[in-house]
Amino acid sequence: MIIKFFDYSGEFCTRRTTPGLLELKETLRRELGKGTFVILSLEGVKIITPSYIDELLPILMIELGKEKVLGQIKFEPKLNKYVEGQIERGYRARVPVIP
Amino acid sequence: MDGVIFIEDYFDQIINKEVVPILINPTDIDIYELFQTQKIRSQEFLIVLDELLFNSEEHGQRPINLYLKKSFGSLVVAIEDFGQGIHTTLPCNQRLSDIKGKKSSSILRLSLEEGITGTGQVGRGLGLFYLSEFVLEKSAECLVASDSGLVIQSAQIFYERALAADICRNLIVIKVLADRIGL
Repeated sequence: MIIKFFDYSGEFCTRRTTPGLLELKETLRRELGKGTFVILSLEGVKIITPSYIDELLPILMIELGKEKVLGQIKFEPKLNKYVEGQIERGYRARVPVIP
Repeated sequence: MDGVIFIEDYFDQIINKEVVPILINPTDIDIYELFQTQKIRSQEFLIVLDELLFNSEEHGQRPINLYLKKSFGSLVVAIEDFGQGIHTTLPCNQRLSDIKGKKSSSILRLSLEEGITGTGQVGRGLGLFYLSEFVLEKSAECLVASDSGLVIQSAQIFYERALAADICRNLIVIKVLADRIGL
C-alpha cells in the first residue's frame, strides 16, 4: 500500500499541528495494525521536518512495537538525515523508564 | 555583496535597527521560496530555519523577523521574536528546576542540547538542537541571545557572555560558508 504525505498535509509537512497529521496517524495505525506493508511516499512534499515525523512514527512505535513499525514501512524517496534521525530520537525519548 | 561580516556585528546591527528584515512573520512557503530565489541548496538548513520559525510561533510574540545577508562567501541569517525569553521558559521544565538562578547565557547554552526544552514535553523545541547539530556539521557559527545573555557556537566550541542590558527579544543569528549550503 502507498500512503502519500501530500494527500494528508500538502506540500509542507512541517508542524506537529499540521492539518491531516492526526488522520494520517490514524490510517497508518490501522494499516500497520493489520500487518500491511506501507510505502510512505514523499512525492509532492517540499519540506518535511523532524517535528512532523516526531508526532507520527515514534508514537506508533511505542504503541505497536518498534520492530513491527520499522519493518512494515519504507520511505520513498529516502528521508533527510535529520528527519530520519528524529524517528529513533523520538522513540528513545518516549520509551517508559523502568524505575 | 558587502564586506566580511562577523556574527556579533550583525547581532549589534539588528539590535540597533541598522538592518531591516527581509521577511516579517514568514510562513513555510515564504522560507521555501526564499531558499529558491537565493539558490540555497541545503535541506538541512531549510529544516533548521523552519523548526526555529515554529519555536518562535509557539513561544514568541509577533512580529517574527527574518534577516538575511550575503557577505564574502558567507550567508548570515537571523530570526528574531519578541516573546518570552528562552531563559524564562527553560526553568519551567520541572526536570530542569535546578537551573533556576543560573545566568541567562548558561541557560541558553543548555538549550542547544538534545531534549532540553521549556515544556519538558517530548518532541518540542527541536529547533535549537538541530541548529547546534547543523553548526557542528557545517563548521558554521550561531549566536543565540535572550534576556541579557548570549551564547555563540562556532563548530564545537561554545562561548557565553552577559550583555549589558536586556535585549527584550530572542535573537538567533546563523553564519555559514556559502559552499556548505550549495551556494
